[in-house]
Amino acid sequence: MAREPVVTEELPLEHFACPNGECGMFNRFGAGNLSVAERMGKAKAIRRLYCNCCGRRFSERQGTLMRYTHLPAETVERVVKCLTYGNSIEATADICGVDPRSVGRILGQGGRRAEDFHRLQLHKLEKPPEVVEMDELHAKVARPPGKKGGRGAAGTRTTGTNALGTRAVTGVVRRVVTGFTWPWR
Amino acid sequence: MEVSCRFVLVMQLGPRTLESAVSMLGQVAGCCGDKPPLLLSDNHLPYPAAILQVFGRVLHRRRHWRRGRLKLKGLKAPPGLMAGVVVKVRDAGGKLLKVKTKAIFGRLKDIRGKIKRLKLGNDINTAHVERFNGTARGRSARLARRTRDVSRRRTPLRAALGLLRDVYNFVHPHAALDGATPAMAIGLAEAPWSVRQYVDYPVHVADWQRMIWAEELENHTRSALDSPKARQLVPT
Repeated sequence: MAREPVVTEELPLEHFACPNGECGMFNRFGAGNLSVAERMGKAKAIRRLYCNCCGRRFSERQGTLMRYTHLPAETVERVVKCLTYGNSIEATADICGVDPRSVGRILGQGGRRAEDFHRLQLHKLEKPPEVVEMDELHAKVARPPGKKGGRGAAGTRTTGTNALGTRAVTGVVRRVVTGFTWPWR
Repeated sequence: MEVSCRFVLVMQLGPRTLESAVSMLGQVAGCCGDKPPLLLSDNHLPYPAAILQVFGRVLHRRRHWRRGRLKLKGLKAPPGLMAGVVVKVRDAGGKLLKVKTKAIFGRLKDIRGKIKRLKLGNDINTAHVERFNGTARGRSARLARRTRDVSRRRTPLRAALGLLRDVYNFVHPHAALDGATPAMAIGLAEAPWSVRQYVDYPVHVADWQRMIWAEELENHTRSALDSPKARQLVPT
């Protein structure tokens, strides 16, 4: 017995575009080439759309942050909000009641999508920028915990002398490489 | 950052080297067409060379008296390019003594006039992007100072910065823009987006688009000295 579709706030079809790169209507929003082919998901709430230009079917979630996720939309929204308000992955997972790996997956997927989104938006710019300010922001990428150096640390079986020597050489190399810039204060 | 709209154009992740500066400026050049924008920066040493590499034209030097070796070609700033820097003078202990401004390309008077005309201050400054840096530090746990939440790899840091940039541009209203978002000010949106709108917005990029973008970036970051010589059409 087929389930009844759950009536939720469905976005109009003008909100979507064909994701097939070889289609003539690729990325054209509101072109009138899409129709609802079927419904998917446990609650039949996800629409599968059909492009009458290339004849392909695709999920309405394709290209969004909801793609391939089983989490409800409210949770994904809350995860994004928490991440963009300065919370760590662990804190976000605790606040939203999800697994930290889910937060990491949403972050990674959102980052890749953000790059594409930004590039697409930059191509839509009508007026060129007049004044551009440039600056540097210091951020740290620490070594993974398993690979940290130091005496007795897992993964580094060097003697004290060797470790010290390596560090000294690294310091010299860094100084030479970044010698033409001012040190960060 | 595009200052008058507070729109974050590029967030480049990498060491503070010439390559990073060239890559960042190449992306800026990709969205500004033929007319270069007014560039304001701090006294980071690779910037002048990077600006010349991205926006510069070939400088043909002449020999004096038609004798001697042929002089090597160089790079010169195109007409209309203006760039100013803020120089901080410090003593040996690092204490700030004085803040000076100078023009590295264009006239200082013209740069100050444009800044005043656009109501961005009275002199060359990087106050707006510094303020954004503060916002970014507050809104990303990875950028906070003295934290244990630092990134262990570059990919999540890049992802977090991308997410932060998009939400900053499209979602959060800016107090200096009368409640509008930077995307509204620059003409990319008509109203502030909600996070739900951002999450539900479908983004489709094909492989051929990525190839075009990579080629465009390569063209923008290639120096005028390295670009293939344009052939002159022979009149028939």
